[in-house]
Amino acid sequence: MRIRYALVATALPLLSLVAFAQPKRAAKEPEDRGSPSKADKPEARPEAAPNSSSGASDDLGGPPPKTAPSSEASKLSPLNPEGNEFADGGVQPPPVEYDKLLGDIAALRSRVSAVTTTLFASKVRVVIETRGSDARVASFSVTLDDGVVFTAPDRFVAEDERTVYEHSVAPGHHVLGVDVERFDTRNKEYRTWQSSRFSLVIPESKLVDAHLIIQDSSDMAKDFPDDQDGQYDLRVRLRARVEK
Amino acid sequence: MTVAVRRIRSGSVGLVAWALGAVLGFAAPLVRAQGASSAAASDAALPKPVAVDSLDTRGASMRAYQAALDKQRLAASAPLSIQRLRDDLSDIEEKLSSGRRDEAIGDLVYIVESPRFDPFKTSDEGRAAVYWLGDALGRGGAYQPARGYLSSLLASAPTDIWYRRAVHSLVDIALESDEPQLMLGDLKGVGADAPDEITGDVQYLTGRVAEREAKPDDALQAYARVSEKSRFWAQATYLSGVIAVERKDYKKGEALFCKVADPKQTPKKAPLFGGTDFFQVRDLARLGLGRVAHEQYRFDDARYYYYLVPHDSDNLPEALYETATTRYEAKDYDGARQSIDELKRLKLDNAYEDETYILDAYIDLATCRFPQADGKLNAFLRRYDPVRDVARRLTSDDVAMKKLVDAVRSGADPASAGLGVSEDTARALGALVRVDSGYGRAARRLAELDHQQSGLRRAMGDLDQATERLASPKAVRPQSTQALGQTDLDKVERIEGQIAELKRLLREADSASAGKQVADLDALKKELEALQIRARAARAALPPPSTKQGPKGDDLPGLLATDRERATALYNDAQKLRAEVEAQELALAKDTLVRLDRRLSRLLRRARLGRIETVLGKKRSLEIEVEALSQGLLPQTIVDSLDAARYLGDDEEYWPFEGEDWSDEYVGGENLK
Repeated sequence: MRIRYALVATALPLLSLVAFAQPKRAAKEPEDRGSPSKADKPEARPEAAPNSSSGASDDLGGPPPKTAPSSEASKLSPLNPEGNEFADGGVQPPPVEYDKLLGDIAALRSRVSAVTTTLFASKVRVVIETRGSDARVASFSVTLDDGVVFTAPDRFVAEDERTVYEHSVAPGHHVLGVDVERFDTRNKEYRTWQSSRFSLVIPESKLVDAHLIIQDSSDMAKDFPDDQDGQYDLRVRLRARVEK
Repeated sequence: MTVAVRRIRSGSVGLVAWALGAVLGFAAPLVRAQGASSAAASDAALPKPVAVDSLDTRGASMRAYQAALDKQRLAASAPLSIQRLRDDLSDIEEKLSSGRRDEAIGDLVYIVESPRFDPFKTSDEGRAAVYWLGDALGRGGAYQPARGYLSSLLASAPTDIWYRRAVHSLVDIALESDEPQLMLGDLKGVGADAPDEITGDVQYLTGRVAEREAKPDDALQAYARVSEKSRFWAQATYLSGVIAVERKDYKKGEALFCKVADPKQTPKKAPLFGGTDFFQVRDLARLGLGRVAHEQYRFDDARYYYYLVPHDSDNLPEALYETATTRYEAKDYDGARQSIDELKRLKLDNAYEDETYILDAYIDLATCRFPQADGKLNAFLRRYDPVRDVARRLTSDDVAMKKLVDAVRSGADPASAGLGVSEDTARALGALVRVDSGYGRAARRLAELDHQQSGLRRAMGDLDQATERLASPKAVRPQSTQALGQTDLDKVERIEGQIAELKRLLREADSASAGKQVADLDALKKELEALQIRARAARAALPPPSTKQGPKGDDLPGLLATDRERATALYNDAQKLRAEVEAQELALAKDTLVRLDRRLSRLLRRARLGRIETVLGKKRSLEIEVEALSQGLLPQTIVDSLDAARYLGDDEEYWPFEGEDWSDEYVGGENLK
């Protein structure tokens, strides 16, 4: 019995020595790729600000920041944008009187429009027709005397005749204006802007039909990129006649 | 707030603001990347101007005209009838549909503000006329009179068609306006017994106003009451999800996004009532789900959600880029490469072009393809260094800056905007600029004001003509003494155009001088500054429209004289206001370019650091190779080079032949006859 205890007593220190002499087990690999582990985030430190206090002027910026203690919050990918690259949403409201002023002007204009309908028997009608299969209108407005009377909406097309304005006007001399910007569908780089003014005489108590044909037969977008030779051919034609 | 949440926010209103103008309504308050709390704090710090609440239609002035015309027997004498109203309305609706809104408003005011109209006010046609007038005024930016007319329609039963259309119109106007709470006040009378489509509109507006006032709890409650039969169901559910995500309640946020994104979870009627806007919001919800999953490191989920964004979506480049980012972070470099390649195959200009470039190079870096990575990073530096410099330079040139941002906003080619830089640089700049939705609002305000001012100039001319007509009925409008296009305003505008052109030429000369100091250029710049000061002085010295004084009173000439004077005063006020509104617009355009400068600077730094890493990577790979050689292990490239077969051409063979000869091999029919 004593011998048995003596054997156990000698064996225990030996076993403990054997146990300590085992090679150390490698650190456990993360099991799930999807779990928020450090390995998923290749670079832990956020970048230095573009204009760091070091005053470094080159694009490498200042010295790298000191290693912060590891935390989840600091594990952003270096390719992620920084907060100051987003709009801060600080949109200023318009001046207080903006809405009131716009309301006042719109009401006054509508009044004047209604009164002139009664006072003037003469009328002008503006009809638009656009021609040119490869030309598209980018912006288009029609002016009468001092003000715009029609502004084209987006993607304005008038391949068929389109009445854009018809209203009573004072008899006599008026200036009809057309401002048009066009681009070629074959190559949007080739754009034109044209402003034309036409003097019209509106007889008393008559309706004048002003028919505007806006034609574009340009081949610049097609020819110039090929052989460095092209031409713009833009025309605005107006035919005015008194409706009987 | 984390970057993913910022992207959800900015994705909802920033990058697709133009497409979602009507969907998400007043987007500006939502573009608060710093989060609701900071936005609320900054709002509190600024003295908030008090909105003017008025429902005045200004109809009394028109009624005074009608009375004066009647006195002079100039008013319409033909009696009004339902049929006549119907015919007139048909013409007016046609005008409205073809964009002739100003004309339609004039016609409607003439009808509605006439004593003859009073008996027909409550008829279906009469209510239609009032609705069209209110709607047209509201769409033209004249909110106060619009509210006056539309609110008058809310006295009838909610089942009435004009009641419902008035509510829809008021909500649309509110979402466009900067003071939506005023319209919400007008809609207080809409009861809970109203149809779902109407209460849904009002609840959605309530939620948006609450968000604007930094009350997310109230907003959530209101959004929860938006029925599936409302056209805003998707928007309300999506925005509820955004609020949940902002509070870091990702689970709830995800569940809400899923309701929109997953057709199985979406109520059946929601897409029918939501129209095309619904599908745009669905794409955003899918992106939002991807970002939430990415934020929680659930990379595989994120990939699945991004994959759900359909190929015809405007958000596809965004989804592909973010998929690549997710895969990169998950260390699935093949997956990242696939997404990048797919994005490149789209051949679409997108706002992620620069980031894609860098990510592409970093994937090469991660897969130890150092020469390729170095080549890409070098190309990035060559391409985007000048772009960043131009962005920086443009911030000091208001005209060029505005031209660029306008070109981007309108979808025009930035190369034709006359920026004075090479076409490639202008296009690269145009592709990268991420225009904030606030800029669109500021630009719209300025456009509305310009339009009204232009119309006012014409109205002043009409008032003068009308006064002369009353004084001498046979008088005709004389020919202008000024040559065409030679007014003072025309001249000043031409001067400003020339100055803008000079600036462009100087920018080109600057680019050509490659950063060297040229004395002539400096002198020219100083001269240009002096010219700019003179141009500003010339604009300031433009004479205000003259006021023709006349006797005022209740008769027609008196009313015309009063309105002429009022028109002049309004014009002068509008001129002053225009300067303020334009300054706001320019500040936002500048902010856009400053943000681009920050982003490109970060990416350029990242590219330079990446190049350092490619050198270190190459060095390390050589070290490993040398180490292997020292242990007698030949690298694969050397083993391959020992294989003589790789140096043989298609028409060559070993000599002497060392292969096997097969006696029964068929060699062809060379000697057959």
